[in-house]
Amino acid sequence: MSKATWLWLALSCVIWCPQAPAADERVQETLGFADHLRSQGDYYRAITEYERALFLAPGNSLAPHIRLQIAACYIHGKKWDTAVPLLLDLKAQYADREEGRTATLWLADTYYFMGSYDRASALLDEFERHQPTEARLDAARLKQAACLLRLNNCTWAHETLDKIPTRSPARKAADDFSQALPRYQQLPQKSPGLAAGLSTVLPGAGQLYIQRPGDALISLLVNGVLIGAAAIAYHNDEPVAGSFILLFESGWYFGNIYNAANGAHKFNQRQREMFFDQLQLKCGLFQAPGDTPRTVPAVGVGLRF
Amino acid sequence: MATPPTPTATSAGSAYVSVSRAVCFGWLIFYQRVLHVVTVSHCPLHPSCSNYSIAAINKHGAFRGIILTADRLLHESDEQYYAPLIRRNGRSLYADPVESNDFWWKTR
Repeated sequence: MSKATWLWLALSCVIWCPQAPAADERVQETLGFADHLRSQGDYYRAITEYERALFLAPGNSLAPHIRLQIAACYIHGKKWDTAVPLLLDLKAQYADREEGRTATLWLADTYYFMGSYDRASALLDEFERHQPTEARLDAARLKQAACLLRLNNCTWAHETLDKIPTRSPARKAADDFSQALPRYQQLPQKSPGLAAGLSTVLPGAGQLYIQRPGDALISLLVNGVLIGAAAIAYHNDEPVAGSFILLFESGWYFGNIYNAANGAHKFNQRQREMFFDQLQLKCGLFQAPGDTPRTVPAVGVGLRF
Repeated sequence: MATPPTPTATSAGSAYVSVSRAVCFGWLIFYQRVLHVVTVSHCPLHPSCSNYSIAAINKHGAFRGIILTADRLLHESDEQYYAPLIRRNGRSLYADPVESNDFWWKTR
């Protein structure tokens, strides 16, 4: 080889060789710092650092992992609408890899947090069909049962829980879940129709039925005073004033009926939320990525559903 | 700081606000700029009842908005036992947005 070739080779080594590890080191450092920020709860600065790592090494094998971490930060920050497209993209792009499977499970969690229980359930169903040997399958089944229960499908939830094998670590939570199912069906409920009907007959009666005495008193007083005022106005031959008061009163009257029905729905929702809060506490179903499930130890604690 | 809702055009995107909405918004703006200044008490809920009313009318139109407003005024006292406590502008308030009161509607 000529001297020029040797010189060129030597120069190449000097210029290129040290740069590769340096770039990798910078990526690792940036990722380390991003992880630290995330652990401190500083999710948005963590996202900036993860993006920096992606920018420094766009073709790096860690790219899917970094994108997953960005999605996790958005989930922690409750930016569901931003997390969903990211996770959908990862799920589609890396379907056969660990990142793709994790993205699917996190996507189901995100849909659950968003209240899209049907989407979460469909996704977990798809996960079960495509990943029959996945280690997290039983945990996914538990989550699917919770989604189905949210959709008021108790039978299907029970069937899903029954699929969890006896030797599975998730079996204990599944048993607790199964035991709670009958209690879900017996949750105290108020009929919105009955509440609205009662308030149509007597303003405030529906509110008393849904255990809101303050609302009942205000409703009765406001409607009573306004109807009385309209009656007096008509009695005194002042139809314009009477009609004006009646028009004003009609808003309160329909508002009173709506208030009773709305209160019944809120009562029912509160009962359901309390049930699911306790279920979450006992079975540790859903948590943001990286969080450890906060469950109540079974010994010595009696939770009432 | 969260900005209060402002009256907007109809959800269909038309360039004008309907007459009934205009009348409602007129009253609400009059209340917020004139009457509210001289009142002593403050709404313990967030958003305040007038802002809630504007948001309800913006979302559902004048008729349903008025009914939702009446509902809000009726449940204002009892809601403090159920709604989550939040901090807004240095004050502790109970969160009660429109979404907490129309979540059960089939069509929104």
